[in-house]
Amino acid sequence: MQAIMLGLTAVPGVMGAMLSDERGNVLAHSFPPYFDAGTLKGAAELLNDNTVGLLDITGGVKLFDIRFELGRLIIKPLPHMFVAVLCQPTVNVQLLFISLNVAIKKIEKLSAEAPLVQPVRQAAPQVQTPPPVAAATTGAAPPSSDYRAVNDKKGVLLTCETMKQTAGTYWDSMTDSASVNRNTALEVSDFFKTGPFKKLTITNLATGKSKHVPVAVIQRDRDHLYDGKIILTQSLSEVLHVKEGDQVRVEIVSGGGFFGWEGI
Amino acid sequence: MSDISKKLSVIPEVEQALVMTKDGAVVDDSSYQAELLGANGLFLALFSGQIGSQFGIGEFKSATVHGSEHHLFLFDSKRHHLCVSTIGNANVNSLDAEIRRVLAQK
Repeated sequence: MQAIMLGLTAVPGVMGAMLSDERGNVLAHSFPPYFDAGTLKGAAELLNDNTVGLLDITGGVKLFDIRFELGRLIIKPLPHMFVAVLCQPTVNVQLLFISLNVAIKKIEKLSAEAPLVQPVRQAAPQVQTPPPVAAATTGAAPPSSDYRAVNDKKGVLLTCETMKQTAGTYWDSMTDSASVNRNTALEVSDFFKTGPFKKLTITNLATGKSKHVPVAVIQRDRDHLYDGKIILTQSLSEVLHVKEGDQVRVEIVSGGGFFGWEGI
Repeated sequence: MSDISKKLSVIPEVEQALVMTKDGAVVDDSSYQAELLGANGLFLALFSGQIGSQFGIGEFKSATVHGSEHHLFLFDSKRHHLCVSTIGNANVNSLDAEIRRVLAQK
């Protein structure tokens, strides 16, 4: 990947190129040291957070070409990734587009051979230890997410947190529903290879009690406070007999129904 | 229809054009379509400003979004933004040049 990014800087006028994933992590870059890791990480998060905003009006963004006083930024959204190329205002953009298309073909080929965004998951049947949650509670959350799903054979293991009862969540707390953040939702859907989901079956590992409930996805969790966690309403916590910090197994039920899609 | 829309209507691929203030208030057009395009233009301007300051490459000048169904153009001036929506099967670079040519005409 690094070589592909370096290849883009061979185009006259290109200052650097960056490949980032849909979680805002920088996968490879060829920027000079003037652009530190924090700058690139911030840019990757901006791309991740904002590029979907123009989806409706454009019918799907193929490319951004943004001109500034001192430079020009080309952003190419790819499936699960972004390529951002920073160049001088005088760059030969047609030449850059040719090089960019070559680079994209190489990235697609590489990502088809070995998935970039998700490292290959070990098929270990044993229960793995959950990630430490202390960092989240102390507010010292890592700036980048390295969360990977902890699983047993049947599903993904998540740590419970009960929704705090406030004026805004008073009625919600009486319904049986749950919330996970985007990273956790991605890990769960990747584990079951189903894509987006709206419902999960949550099982209390201690008592075996389970319930199939609708799930909301928390879109903005920049500090990754809820990686590996599931937030249950008070009603659901009581139904499942779980308390804060307990582990539950979540599963996506993809079978059932006449057409086999009920429960997704 | 605003003056700028009339001016740019000579380009057949242009669907809509509007001028808005930097805080997103559309000038001379109160239609829903204008409000929608203005909102998207403002979103693009804010995103461009943020990513530009992240890289430290100076003030935002213009942005082009190549879309599947519609292309979006945003041009910056001292106090206003010009936002243009065009059909998606047109060549973006030639449209960009054409819009600049029309705007340069007195």
